Amino acid sequence: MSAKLMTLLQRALLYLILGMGAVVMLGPLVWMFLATFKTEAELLTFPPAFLPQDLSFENYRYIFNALPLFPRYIFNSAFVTTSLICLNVFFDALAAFAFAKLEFPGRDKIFLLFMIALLLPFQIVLIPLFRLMSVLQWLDTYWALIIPGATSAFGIFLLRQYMRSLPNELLDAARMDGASDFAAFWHIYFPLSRPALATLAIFTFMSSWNDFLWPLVATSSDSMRTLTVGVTMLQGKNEMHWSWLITAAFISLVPIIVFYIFMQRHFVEGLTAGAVKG
Amino acid sequence: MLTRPSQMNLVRAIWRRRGAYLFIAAPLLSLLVFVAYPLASSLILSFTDWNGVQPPQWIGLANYYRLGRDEEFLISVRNTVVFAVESLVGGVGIALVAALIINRRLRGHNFFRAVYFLPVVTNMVAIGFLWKLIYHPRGLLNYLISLVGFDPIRWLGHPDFALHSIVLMSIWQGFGYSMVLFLAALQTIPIELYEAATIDGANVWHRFRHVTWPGLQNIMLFISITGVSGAFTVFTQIYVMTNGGPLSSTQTIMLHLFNQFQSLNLGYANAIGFSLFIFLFVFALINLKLNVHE
Repeated sequence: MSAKLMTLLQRALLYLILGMGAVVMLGPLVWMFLATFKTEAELLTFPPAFLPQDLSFENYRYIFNALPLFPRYIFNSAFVTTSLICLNVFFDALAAFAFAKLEFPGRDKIFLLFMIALLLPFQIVLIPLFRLMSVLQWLDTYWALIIPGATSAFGIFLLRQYMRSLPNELLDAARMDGASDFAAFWHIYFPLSRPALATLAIFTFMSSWNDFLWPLVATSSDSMRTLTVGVTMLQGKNEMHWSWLITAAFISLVPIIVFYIFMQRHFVEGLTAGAVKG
Repeated sequence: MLTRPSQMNLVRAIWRRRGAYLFIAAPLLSLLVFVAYPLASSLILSFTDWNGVQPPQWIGLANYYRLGRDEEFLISVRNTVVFAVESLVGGVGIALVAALIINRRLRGHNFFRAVYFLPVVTNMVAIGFLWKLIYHPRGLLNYLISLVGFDPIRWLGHPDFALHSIVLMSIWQGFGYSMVLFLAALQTIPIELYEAATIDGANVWHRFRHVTWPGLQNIMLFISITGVSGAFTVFTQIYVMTNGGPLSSTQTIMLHLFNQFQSLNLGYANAIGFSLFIFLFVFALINLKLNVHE
């Protein structure tokens, strides 16, 4: 009886901790969502009101009507992100297939190079990369935002792990039928790798959509800004207009959160892939 | 040392498998052009005085000597270390506790895992502005602490608080990542070990100390390498929330590098970047060396 009461109490305590944690984690995001319906004055009244006085879409109207470039920011982010997903899924899979299934001199040494590159934080090469873009005259164009990220060591690592688990016999059989290695890749291994490709696509979506430092450095004209950079442009030089800023920031979160709700597993897998085997 | 005939054999073998290299051509080219070449040129440019307009002037180690005398750089190193230690210790601690509780698989544990992980997938610009509003002198946090009798705090406006406030929001944003890593590692600890320990009369603490903790060593290694690398290159939330102020109290290495880059001290900015690279690379190697062979 008392042992049972103990476990019950213990359970209640754990739920209390988990519940408070959930409030702390979700609270600010809910607060942000409600803030997008508030006027500037309402946002900074003290004590703050939790719910907006009336459900006004004024902030959204302002952002989409009075800021001619805001839709352009969204388009830029969407275009760059889509391109990066397509390029990474194709080129990383192609290389991963070679590293997993083909034999050629230097294979493992070259693969090791990619793994070393995985250890490097990107920010380190920021300035030389900027210089390279300037020499190529790619600054302030989509090329600078897309080409340097068109393949990734992480994607190759992730897909190679997956393809190694697929049977070698499929390749032998395809070769027996006179198919080229590329045909075996394209018609057999690529489609079979769909779960890992989905994880890579989601991971690329997240890192590209959320990227900030590189688009900030690589673009200079207003029409080339991506959404994250564009949002910081709303922070005026002298005065701050919080209700517009927070609404724009919220809009930048929406696509990721929607995807996250439906494809949570892929988000977690993409981010933990390096560690579990590592 | 390769002898001539074996060199010939190697060339022949490469030629025979030439098709395979086409599969890796794009990423390999990308690695050479966008990683290896910039890294090498970063080292070379760090020995020059260069403003991006005139050709670089070779000045030897002068940029590296300057690092030691640059007050702002030394402050930024100090702040970055404080940020890294506080956010890693705090974040890993909270992540471990959350993972241990969620791993008990109470009803609804998947919901809590999803909620705690959610901020990890969001962009730091939006989250930075959100927290800047929460930290506003007339904002939500000051209201909440006023309910329990505290006076308002200038979270981001006071040099004594600003850095710690940014640490706090960074932990909020990022601990879910370590949490899911811990959860994945906890799954790999065989349940028999716990059963055996219980039979041997081990209490909760002993089971944690002798079964759970050793089982988490590999993931701790991964978290410490990626965590240190991430914390030492912290940029976005600082840029958005305080831009280094007040009074340089949130100035960090990457922000300093970015400012030097913007004021076109490109040689010097490269020296900052390359020093940071060497530090992080050596840190990762030492960590791997100390831990991997076990």
